Amino acid sequence: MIRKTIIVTTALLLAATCAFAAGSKKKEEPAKWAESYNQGVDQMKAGDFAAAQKSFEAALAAKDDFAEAHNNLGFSLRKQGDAHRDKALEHYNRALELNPKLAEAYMYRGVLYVLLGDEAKAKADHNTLAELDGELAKALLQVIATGEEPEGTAGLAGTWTN
Amino acid sequence: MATPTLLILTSLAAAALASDRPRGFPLLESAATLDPETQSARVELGRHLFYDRRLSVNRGISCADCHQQDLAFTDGRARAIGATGQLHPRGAMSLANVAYAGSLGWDDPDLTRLEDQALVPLLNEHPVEMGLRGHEDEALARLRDEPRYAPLFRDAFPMTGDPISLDRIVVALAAFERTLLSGDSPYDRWLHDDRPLPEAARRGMRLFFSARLSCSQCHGGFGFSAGPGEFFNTGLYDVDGKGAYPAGSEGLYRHTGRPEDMGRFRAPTLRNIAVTAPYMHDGSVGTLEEVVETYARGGRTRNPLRDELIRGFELTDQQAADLVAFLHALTDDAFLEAPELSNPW
Ligand code: HEC
Ligand code: HEC
Repeated sequence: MIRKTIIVTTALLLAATCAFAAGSKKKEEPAKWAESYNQGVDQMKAGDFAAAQKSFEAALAAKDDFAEAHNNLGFSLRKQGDAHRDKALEHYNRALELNPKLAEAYMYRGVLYVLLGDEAKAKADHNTLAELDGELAKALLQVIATGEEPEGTAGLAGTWTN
Repeated sequence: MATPTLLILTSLAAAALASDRPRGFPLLESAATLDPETQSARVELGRHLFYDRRLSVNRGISCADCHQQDLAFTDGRARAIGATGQLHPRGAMSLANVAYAGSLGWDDPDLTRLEDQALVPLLNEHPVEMGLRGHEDEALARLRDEPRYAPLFRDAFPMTGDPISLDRIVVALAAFERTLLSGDSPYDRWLHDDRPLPEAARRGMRLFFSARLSCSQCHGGFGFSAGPGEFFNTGLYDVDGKGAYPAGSEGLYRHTGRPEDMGRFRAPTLRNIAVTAPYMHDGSVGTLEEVVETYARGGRTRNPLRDELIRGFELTDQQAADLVAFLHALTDDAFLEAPELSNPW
């Protein structure tokens, strides 16, 4: 999957700028929360979901309104067992509350709805996703149609770049 | 396009278009920049032209004779027959959602504008379709003699002298073709209104989208068709044991001359597929049941150039019937009957 550049909300941008301004003289050095987040992305890609969970939690401890981190945390939790599904759903919901245009979160939440047997909600997420990201929508449609979880991490919100 | 166009608020036109497009279809990039009134006048003119046999050399056929609405704008023939009786090497294609097609025709990667495509049937000599090459002026004179055209052309192309020309004819035809939108099948109502599908069709959908059958890998997305630049060899022929397709059926190879492009075709839309038999570029497969059987066998031949997804699979009779039931759920009856797409004469 070709990762879409993360949509940086004005608020986040401001926060990031402030963090850099306050934190260090070296402009390139990412903020702590971004560092944790990016580490989580790598861990998720490597399939180490327990480690990824810790990293996203660390990022969110510093910055609770981080939609992408909520999305990825939801997935990292879900991949550690069915018992985490409710918690995962909460994080997807939170991600979408923070950023209603976060395509990746519709993808992950839609997949979760399929696994929960709620096809109607999965289709609703697909239909929103179709307006945001045609390729991800195709992937979610396949999940809904077959009832089978996709391989890989399609729906992962990618590395944080300012 | 030589016409001075009224460039009015693009957003207005785009908004109008947005409300017209079927649910789940993306906004068209070629969204009209005309004011809505001229735009709809063009569509109406294009519709009249589409159904007008005056546009063929012997007044024998119109676009609509090869592209019939009740057959999702195909003609029910294996291969098309032109105004003078010549047999086309390939079959007429459905025009459903042709505005979204990545390229036009079975195998031409470079034909992308509907305006350019319309000149092909009008002027083509190999084979003759409508046969107007060298007879363009006669056809234009026939249009001038028909009293209904003067106001239609004037409204569609305001601010020009005599607006009746081949250039404008293809612009109007293309405007009409962009309204041939089909996205209200039982499948769409399942997706958007959460309405149930017949159980067999729902089971067939599972198969259609499965990694094992891979149908959706090539016939994908809202259009159930291939994306731009995608052409596949499905192993229908292998005349020399090295992958050759018969003359006129060489596919993408006809245009590129690259050996690996032999037999590669666009995966056409499967919307309304239940009404567009016979199937494939040359109509060589008669029914949907046979189509499924052919894919199950991994193609009709062992063509060495077959796409890797054409590898065959096993289906029970029940599963084959389910898959066909799903294909039937892609029929949009409203589209096949829409009065605004029908013969205005
Ligand atoms: C003699 C029958 C015949 C007539 C008349 C005819 N067509 Fe076609 N049409 C075909 C065939 C055959 C094809 C497939 C051509 C190919 O790719 O080889 C086709 C393909 C098309 C396509 C491409 C569809 C797609 O999905 O790529 C369009 C658009 C089209 N025709 C529009 C028209 C218009 C407009 C007219 C009238 C000006 C017209 N046709 C007249 C037979 C016909
Ligand atoms: C590798 C890509 C690919 C796959 C996989 C594939 N198709 Fe096709 N399909 C095509 C192409 C290309 C054509 C046109 C071939 C030709 O005319 O030579 C086609 C044609 C068709 C047609 C006839 C369309 C028409 O208008 O005549 C039907 C029906 C169809 N496919 C159904 C299916 C089904 C069902 C499956 C799954 C079992 C499937 N396809 C899998 C590429 C594919």
